[in-house]
Amino acid sequence: MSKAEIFEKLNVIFRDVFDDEALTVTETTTAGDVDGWDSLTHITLLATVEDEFGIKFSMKAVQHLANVGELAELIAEGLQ
Amino acid sequence: MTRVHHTGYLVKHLEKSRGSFLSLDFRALGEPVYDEDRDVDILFLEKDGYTVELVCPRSDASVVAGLMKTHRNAPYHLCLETDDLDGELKRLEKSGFMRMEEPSPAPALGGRRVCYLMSPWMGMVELLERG
Repeated sequence: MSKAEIFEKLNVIFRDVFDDEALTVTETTTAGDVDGWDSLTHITLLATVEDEFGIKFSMKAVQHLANVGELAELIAEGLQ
Repeated sequence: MTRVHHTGYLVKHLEKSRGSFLSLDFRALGEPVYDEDRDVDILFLEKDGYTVELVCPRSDASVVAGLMKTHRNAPYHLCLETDDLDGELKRLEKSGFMRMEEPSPAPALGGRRVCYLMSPWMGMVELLERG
């Protein structure tokens, strides 16, 4: 899956989790840029990503994600 | 095997919520307990074999404080009791649940170990080790 395809799918997930059809995330998007992105919605987001992409994250790997770009990199690694 | 232990209710004002549940003929199971790790006050009530756990965050630092904005006074987690906490955790993680923390003692449940998990499709589940 290409990075563009990952982001296309990620945007569908973000719009669903944050209930915002206008939301578009990029490599540099952080939690501070998205209304309602707190610790609990973060867990919901990660669980949704795992399910939709068919991958599993280690807790360690997702503890210090700096932005959506790093999440996309983790997804790409998980898909390999 | 698991069995339903209680439903967790997020509440803004513990005493006022207790009054509302008492009006519905629930009975309090003891007095409120403060869970320092989660920064919440907790009170269990029961009616007809159905147990609810009132969970009231004390500050914005509480892990559930963010939920108050979206849920306010509402049920938000289902607690299941199990003989094999670690085995059930592994089973649920394979079924798409994400562990939110490592298992830890719950002061309001006699120090029994609990662990919260999140399902993107049904919300939060608490696993409770049988005492």
